[in-house]
Amino acid sequence: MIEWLNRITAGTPAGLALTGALAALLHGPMAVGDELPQRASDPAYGVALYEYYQGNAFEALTRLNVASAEGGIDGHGDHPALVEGGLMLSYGMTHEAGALFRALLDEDAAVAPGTRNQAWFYLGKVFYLEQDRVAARDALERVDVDLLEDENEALYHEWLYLRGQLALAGTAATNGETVDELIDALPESSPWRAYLHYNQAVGRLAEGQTEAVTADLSSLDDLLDELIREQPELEPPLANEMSALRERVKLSMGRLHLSRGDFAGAKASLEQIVLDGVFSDEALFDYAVAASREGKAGLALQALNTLQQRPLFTPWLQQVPFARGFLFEQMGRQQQALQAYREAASHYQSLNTRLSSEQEQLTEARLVDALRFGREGDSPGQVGSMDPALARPEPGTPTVLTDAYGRVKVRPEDYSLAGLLATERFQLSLRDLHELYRLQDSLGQWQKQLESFDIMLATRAQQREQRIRETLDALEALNTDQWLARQAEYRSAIEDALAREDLRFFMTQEQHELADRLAQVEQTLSQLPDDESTREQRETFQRMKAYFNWRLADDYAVNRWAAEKQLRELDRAMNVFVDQRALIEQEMASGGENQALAARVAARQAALQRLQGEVNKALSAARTELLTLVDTELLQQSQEVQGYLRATRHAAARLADTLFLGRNGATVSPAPEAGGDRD
Amino acid sequence: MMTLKNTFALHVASLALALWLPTATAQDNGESGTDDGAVALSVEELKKQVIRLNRDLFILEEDLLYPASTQFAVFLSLDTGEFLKLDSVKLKVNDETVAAHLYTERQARALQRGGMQRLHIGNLKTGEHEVTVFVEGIGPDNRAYKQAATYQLQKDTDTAALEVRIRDRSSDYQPEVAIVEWE
Repeated sequence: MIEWLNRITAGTPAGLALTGALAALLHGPMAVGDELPQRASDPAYGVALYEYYQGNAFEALTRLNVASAEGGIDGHGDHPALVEGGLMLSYGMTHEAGALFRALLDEDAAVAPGTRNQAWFYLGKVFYLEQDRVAARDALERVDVDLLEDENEALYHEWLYLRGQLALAGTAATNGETVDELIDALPESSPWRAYLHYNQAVGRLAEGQTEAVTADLSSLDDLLDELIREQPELEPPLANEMSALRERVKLSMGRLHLSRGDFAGAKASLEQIVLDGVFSDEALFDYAVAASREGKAGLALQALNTLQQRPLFTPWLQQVPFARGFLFEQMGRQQQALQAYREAASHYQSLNTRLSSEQEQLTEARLVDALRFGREGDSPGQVGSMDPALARPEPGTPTVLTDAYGRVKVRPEDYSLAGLLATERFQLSLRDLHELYRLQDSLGQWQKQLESFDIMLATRAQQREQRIRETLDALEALNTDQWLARQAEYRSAIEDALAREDLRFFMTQEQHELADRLAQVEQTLSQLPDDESTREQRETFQRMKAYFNWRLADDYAVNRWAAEKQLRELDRAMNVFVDQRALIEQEMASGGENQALAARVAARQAALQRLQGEVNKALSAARTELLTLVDTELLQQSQEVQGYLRATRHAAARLADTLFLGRNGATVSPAPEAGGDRD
Repeated sequence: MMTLKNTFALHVASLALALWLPTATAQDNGESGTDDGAVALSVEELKKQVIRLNRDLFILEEDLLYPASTQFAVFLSLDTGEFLKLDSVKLKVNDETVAAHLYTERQARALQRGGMQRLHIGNLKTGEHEVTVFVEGIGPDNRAYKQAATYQLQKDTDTAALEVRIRDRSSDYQPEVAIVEWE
């Protein structure tokens, strides 16, 4: 994306601001973790970092939220909060990030000095991104520089850069520190130094300090050459950025020479720009201008012919067909000039028709077709094509590449949108649309997930019903009530016997047997004659009976205790049984854990439906905004192309008249030096 | 933006200056402030709510599918990965493959930087279980590297969490695979 912004806004203060901001975006959030790697002391944090380092801000934020809901993260102090703030910035939640950093800076918060220091830095960065420059400066000035440099050198370098950017934007440091001092404090190998240096040069140019700018750009050019040559280990994205910046410096140098009338110098600078680089079109066009002004129309024409063979990317490049005709005319090659004007008119006519048609048939699907989205797995600098059938930026998939702030990495398939695509407003709208589609898609997936939870819970409920039925059957088979009645009878009998002090009731089995045998003997004796022959037996019987009664009285306490013990054990067992039955009945009557889970699922479903409605509304607004932007752009381009068309037709008619008059011996009027007679 | 009221020659004279000046781009940025801010705020609020919902669903899913009493999770970390370019990992529990993963460069880099992957989450009943991990990649001297590690897990009624820890062993400049249990 930055290449395209550079292409369109090259050298303008707006472009300057964008460059600075984008450079910050490219490297910003990841700096939180630059002091790592360190072993995660809590798996929840480790998993969040795993997502974070892959650039999956949403997943990482979810993991941190889950960890927070489940009791927080152990062993990492306040660092997770910094990571979360960085993630929020990555995910475009600037306000939330600001609130989090402010919370870390609260006087009552027990936060480690290093964390507090970094929180000041990030809060300053939030303000910078929100373009609140005074607040940004104040926050950045609260940073303990020595501590920051000790703890995280990368952040320290970015701190210097941000302060330099603020100073360039007119919010100078309160301690009077100059941009030059800030640049000098940055190591020569730091990309921040190169960006700041370049932005300073552009600022000086706006102030008319052309001599200083020439020196600045020249030294920067040397620095970048050295940086790229001597640091082949630069990561590809950074190496590409540095190469693009070097090209841009050369382009700026060429333009500077042009503005000063040094056409040879301009050509010399522009010649160094590679023909397949991101700035080659602008370089070729400027080269044509320089050569033309130097009187070398042939060289100028060569440059324009090269451009003519390429797709005419941006609206301003639509001047090329007309410029070719003009150059031929300047060279006195009137037939070729006439031909070139006619070809240009034809080109403008078809372009105008296409733009009108696009404007009439503008839909989101057509807009998406006109863009090429960067995808994971694309080679550096390349972007993948998009399936037109999808008609939207592949919602919900992480494969569409975004930068550190969620902006979609995209290039125009239809180059009439190149200029618009480079604007911050379009980029933000596209980012919002992309994010909203991702949210919508996520919500759709969760809807399915909740539906599957519903099925699971319904199945569990059925299984539960089945088990309840089985349990009820088993309880019924136990004849519970009968057991309870018998327990009551037993208790009552014991209590009665106790009240009556019924020794016999508490007899043991052995005593019962003895009593039975004694009763039998007594009965036998009763049937025998009561005389001398049975006297001895009767006396023996009486002794035995007396002994038995004595034993019975003696064992009464023991027997009674044994019966009472049994009663207590029975009571205990029956109580357990009764409690368990009550529990089972209660469990059967209530929904149990299942019902609680079902309630949670239902609550989430309601929340999800509400969110779906809100996302749809936001999506509609974002879509309308994006299409309005494109419509306005196409209208503007259409008007410009119509202007080109009129001028080209005018020039062709004039030249045809001139040639006709020349063939008929009339005086031939010279080609115009300037176009005061057009429109 | 230049228009064709200017000829190419006129353009030549004014080009250098015009291209340095703020153009429609700068104005666009300025004008977009209010509306964009409102939309961005709305999107930001939605994002916040969606993250909360996702968190709730995440916890709900775990409660539903992996109750604490049977939950069993395996994490993987790489420290620092200088001696091993991680390609793939396979995890077996009681001789049954429960997880297998092929790593992209981005995932491997995330692990190297200190991230930890949740390789598997599932349920295990109480008792003894054998957990085995197979790690493959490119080791020192660009040689194919393959190593396994086994752990006897005594699962009780609490959540069980293991970590497959791949470390650089400085004593012989070789990678080392171990399974450790998180208490």
